[in-house]
Amino acid sequence: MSSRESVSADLSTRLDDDALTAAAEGVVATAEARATYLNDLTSAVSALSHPARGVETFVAGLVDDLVDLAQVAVRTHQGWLVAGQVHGHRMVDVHTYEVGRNQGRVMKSLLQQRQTETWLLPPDTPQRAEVLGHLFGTTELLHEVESLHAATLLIVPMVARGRCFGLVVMARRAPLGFDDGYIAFLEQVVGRIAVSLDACCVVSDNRHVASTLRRSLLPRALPSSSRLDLASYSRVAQEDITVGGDFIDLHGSGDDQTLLIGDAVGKGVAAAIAAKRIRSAVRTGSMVDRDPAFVMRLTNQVIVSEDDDVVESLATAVCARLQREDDALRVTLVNAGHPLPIVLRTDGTVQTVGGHGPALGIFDDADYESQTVVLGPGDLLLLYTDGVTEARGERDLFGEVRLRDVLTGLAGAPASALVEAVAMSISQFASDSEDRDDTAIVAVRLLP
Amino acid sequence: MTTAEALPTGRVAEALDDYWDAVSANDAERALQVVGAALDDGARLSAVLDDVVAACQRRVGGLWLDGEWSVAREHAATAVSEYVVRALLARVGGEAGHEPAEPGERPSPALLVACAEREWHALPALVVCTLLTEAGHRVRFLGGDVSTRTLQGALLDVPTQAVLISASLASSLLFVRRHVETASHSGIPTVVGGHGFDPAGRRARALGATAQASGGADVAGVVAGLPARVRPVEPLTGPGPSEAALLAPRTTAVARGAMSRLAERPDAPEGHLADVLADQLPVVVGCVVSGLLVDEPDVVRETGGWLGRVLDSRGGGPELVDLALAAVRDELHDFPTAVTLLDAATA
Repeated sequence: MSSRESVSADLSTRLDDDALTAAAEGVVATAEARATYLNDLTSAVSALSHPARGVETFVAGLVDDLVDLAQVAVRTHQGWLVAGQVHGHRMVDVHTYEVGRNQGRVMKSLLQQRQTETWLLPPDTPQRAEVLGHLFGTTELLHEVESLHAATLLIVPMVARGRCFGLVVMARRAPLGFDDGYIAFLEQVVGRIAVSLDACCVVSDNRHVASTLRRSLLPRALPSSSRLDLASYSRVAQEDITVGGDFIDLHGSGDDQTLLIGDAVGKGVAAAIAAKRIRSAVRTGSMVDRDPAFVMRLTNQVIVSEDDDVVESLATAVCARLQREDDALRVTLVNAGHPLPIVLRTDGTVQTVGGHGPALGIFDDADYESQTVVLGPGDLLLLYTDGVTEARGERDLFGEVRLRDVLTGLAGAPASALVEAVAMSISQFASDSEDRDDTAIVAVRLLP
Repeated sequence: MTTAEALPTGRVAEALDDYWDAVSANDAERALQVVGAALDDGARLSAVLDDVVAACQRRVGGLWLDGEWSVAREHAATAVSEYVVRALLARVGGEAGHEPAEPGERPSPALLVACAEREWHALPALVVCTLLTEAGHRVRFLGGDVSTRTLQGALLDVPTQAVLISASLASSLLFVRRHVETASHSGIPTVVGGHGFDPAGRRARALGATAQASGGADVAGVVAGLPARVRPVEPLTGPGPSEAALLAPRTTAVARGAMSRLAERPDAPEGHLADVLADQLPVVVGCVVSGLLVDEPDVVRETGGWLGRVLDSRGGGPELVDLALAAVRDELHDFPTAVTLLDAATA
């Protein structure tokens, strides 16, 4: 097997011991072979993935090609991510690897030293078990490593951007060891791995921040006892950062609730933070008085007072109070510059509801008037942001007429059917999926 | 739900009848009660999903094909079954979405289930999610119409064991291929499945998928046999894939051009028939893209047969399919390989 093949070969296949040794010898035999290996490794490590997956991939790669034992440990905000494998045994993967307290202390001090170390293992004595325990804790690796009868362990720190954030522990079966040339080569290999894992960790941390924000902008699942059938859809324009300026919220008690949909100007994280602020103001106001006109007046004042830059604080929203009345749902709506909500009756009638109040964040003395509509069993209220009607096709925008066409014929269907039918129609209509605005849709229906 | 006894045939038939009544009345709650009662009586989850929910869905699809049901009615009925399967998924402890683990929580490896981009048929994928969850897997459902970026994001958020890609339409193969590329470039194996694929697995192999599942029943076995890691798929080269890449972004334009050609004819389709044809032509062009990608005229031949059934039940004569395919062919003058493929399919 040539070195090139051995790098890119399906990493799940196991070489037998002789082949492994031959592969390792082949890899390090010449300077040219080593350079080729490092080149191939660089292209193999360039893909980003979840850090846990990355750790496991590199353990498998090292054990397949270069050494008989490999353990990769990365210290993250969430704690240690560690996986290890002895050739011929199953991998102890990140999910099952438990780092012991003492082991964690030893690994942390090795991180601080940030130097390659060669540990000579004492022969079969209690000390040997203790030394191995420092690196492998109480995992199965502790016993499996003994099958190698290794005399030395090589510990190489992972350093990226000037920070040591992880360790790679390696061993070879007796009588193989680590000469200076092989150590220098493995340090280069670990250097490449470190750059890749560092990038995975950075991206993962950043996505975690964005995801946390996104989660806080979506409504929680409704309690099933509320007799309301609610469905929502949201798609963000900048999918790689997972947040946008559209927001949906639902709060209150079982028979008196506030449903909010809105659209803060802009895209991405800045818009999401503005959206979060509006949502909080609406929640706070609703605790004082659930009347939507009062809530929107107050929210507008909060937004205007908070920001000097009008453009950054501009937002549209519909605030709807949902009150259960025997076999009906009384909906009191206020519209602040937002596309008009639509009511779809069980008989197929489609009507828009709500007035035309000013958008939030413009006038500090803006006043809002509410309108009331009563939904019977099976009737449905649809709220949406302008990402729906302004979805761009090849020749024109999606528009209200197409939206009504979609709704016609879906009278009495579950809220999820309406939401999905609308989302699907926009997706099919939009000519370029990479050029889409934030989109949110929410439908609420009184169960018959 | 743990009992292994299947329901007696008569009981399943009865459940199917009741379920059908609920679905055709858009009554999601009643539909859920019907399957809930069957499960409480000891029916296996897989039997309920297959013999009741999927059987009902086949009937819904058939009614639309034969022109007896409108698209809206089909949507509404499908949504009822989706509602039911989502409830069953929750019942076995599953969840939709791909939110990453909370800080401090060690992430366990997951199976990601996704529809190809522009594929909205989420029901088969939801059934797969439910069966895999019941079998003890941690499953994340990314939904219908999953973009490359959404999949990339999910792979960063969750340590992923495998990506399962559902495609109900043969016109989706290019989008399936993009998911295969995204996953394999992170070393993650892929399983494809759905009516968009041939039973022999030829298309799956051509797309570079690691494996194909023929249905919900065998997907757990297929997952168990997957390698832990795969190598990145090789680029698809040759005149077919090159033309597929050029033609795909022009799908809507080619379909519209073909429609205009048909409209100029004295016997041009009108009214509802014309609307249906205009809706389906992009799917036909999508199938040409797929056929180019996997070098298989059968993809186009199948879509021709299926278009014939759709049009026939709506008053289009048998010659309308030929006219429609000829109009598409005329629009493909810059795509010689596509024309050859179309000719092979209609020969």
